[in-house]
Amino acid sequence: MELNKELNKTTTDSKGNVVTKIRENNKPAFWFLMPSLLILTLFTFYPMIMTIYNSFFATNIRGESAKFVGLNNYFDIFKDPLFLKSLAGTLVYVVLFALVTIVLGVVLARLATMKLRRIGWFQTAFAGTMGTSAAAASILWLFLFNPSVGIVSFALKAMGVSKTNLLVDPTGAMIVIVLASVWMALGFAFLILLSAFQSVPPEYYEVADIAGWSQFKQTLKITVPMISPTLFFLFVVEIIDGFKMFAQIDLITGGGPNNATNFLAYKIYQDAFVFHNFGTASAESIVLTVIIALATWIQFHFTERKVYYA
Amino acid sequence: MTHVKTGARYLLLTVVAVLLLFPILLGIWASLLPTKDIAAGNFLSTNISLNNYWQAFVTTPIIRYMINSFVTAGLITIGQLVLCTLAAYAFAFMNFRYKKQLFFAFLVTMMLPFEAEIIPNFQTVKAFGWLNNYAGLTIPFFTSAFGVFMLRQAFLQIPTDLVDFGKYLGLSRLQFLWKIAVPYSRSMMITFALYTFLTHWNQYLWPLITTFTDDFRPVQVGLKQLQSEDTFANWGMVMATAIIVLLPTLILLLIGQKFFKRNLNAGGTKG
Repeated sequence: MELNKELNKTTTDSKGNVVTKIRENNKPAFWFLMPSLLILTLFTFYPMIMTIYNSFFATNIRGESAKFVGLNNYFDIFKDPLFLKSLAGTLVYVVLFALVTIVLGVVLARLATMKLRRIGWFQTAFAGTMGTSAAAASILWLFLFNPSVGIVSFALKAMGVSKTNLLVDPTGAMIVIVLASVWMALGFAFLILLSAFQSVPPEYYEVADIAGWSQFKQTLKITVPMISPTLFFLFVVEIIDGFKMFAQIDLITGGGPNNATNFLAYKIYQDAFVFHNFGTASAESIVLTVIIALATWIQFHFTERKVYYA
Repeated sequence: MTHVKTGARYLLLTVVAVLLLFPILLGIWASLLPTKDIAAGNFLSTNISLNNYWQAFVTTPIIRYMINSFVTAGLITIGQLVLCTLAAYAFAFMNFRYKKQLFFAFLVTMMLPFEAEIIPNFQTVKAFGWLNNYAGLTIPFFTSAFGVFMLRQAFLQIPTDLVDFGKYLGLSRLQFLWKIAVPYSRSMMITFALYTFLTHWNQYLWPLITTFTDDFRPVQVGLKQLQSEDTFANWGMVMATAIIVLLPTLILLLIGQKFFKRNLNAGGTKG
């Protein structure tokens, strides 16, 4: 009882203090925030401003912003067939990647919510690809599709297919990159979808059982609409991820064949660090930033609504 | 449910799991085979041994790459735990001027892709003399808005009674942070630490452009290095190195699974 009284007293005391403390609290808060602010200023805000600045300049041989050219870098990239090809290829890749990841994720989540003993083991296995780094996974996928030792090539040969090297074909290379990327993203998507599946109240399924709905119909007409906020969240997350994809290209196709997989992030890297054309690369970076910022804004906006929904 | 139906379901799950993990399973299997059997397409060879692993450890800098990755990802994880905790504490418990504006500034950084910042960041790190150096690999990543938000969210879950009790005990801010806030949020802290370590163990683009020698090259870029050298034809050994690189993260994921399941859920519904 006495402790309670004390607590109440200190509560009101401290509440009284809070009002007077607001003004003198600026300093300690500054020290708590300063380290993070310093890093973010130096390595996020400053470089972003510099990228915008550089995008208005032509670059000289030494990599310095030498001559102000206004919006010319932007006009140039949007007239450059290679950049337009990169942008179109990126869009195709990103949409395919996000859709296939989500569809497969839903299938896996449905399988992993069957009422069976030891289902946890299968949940662990399905999430397993989450632990593979892009670089190691790329080597594994390169091995699958390598024309001389890849098991897919051997299989195609055995089936009498003459074109066994998918990676020299633009469509084939796109398919391999999409599959490899989906595989890498699937573990995370599965875990998110699994918890969404588990949050659907079981009564819905019980009623549907009585109505004689098939499992497939239940998933399509009950689960999917119920988890639509999660599906949308994942879709946007995968879109953002897709636009930033880099390692798979660098290790599996190198942007080829004939620039068919020279997607945006890879093109920026090449223009900057292979061709040392910082002005062009900066303009391309800003295009990427606008896309990502827009997608992230949609995600934040949506998440806010989803909190109310849940 | 009949036994046949149950059996069919287990069979289906097993087939899907094997198909899904096939690239890893094949990689493990190939890493045990002699390269000449792989080159001949003789995947059912019975000449299995650990020779490829032995060869990888002896003839390639894979151990050095692993150490570099452990140091890099470890330092970043520690750095983020400290800096994000401090900032999250300020946003959760303190009142100060421009709080809203600063919070918004942190939010904005999540909308900016790192890929668009690499040129100026490369120049900054170069100017500091941090190229090909642990400093350049780690310091730019010592904080993240994502971490600040995640930990702030965890701190806000602390009951007000507990906060008041801390005040009653006369704890200083740092004592409160260390003795109450951090232990109370340890599940989220562990999830965040695992996530950060995994993310930066897997990092590729930044170390690709900022490391030039094996002394600092982390394992992901090391894989590219091994693959582009003449060892490339030695597929058995290349697969062994890929498996060596995969193991730490797979183990970490297995250990951290229950944390991920619990807290990714929170992330999925709360952002």
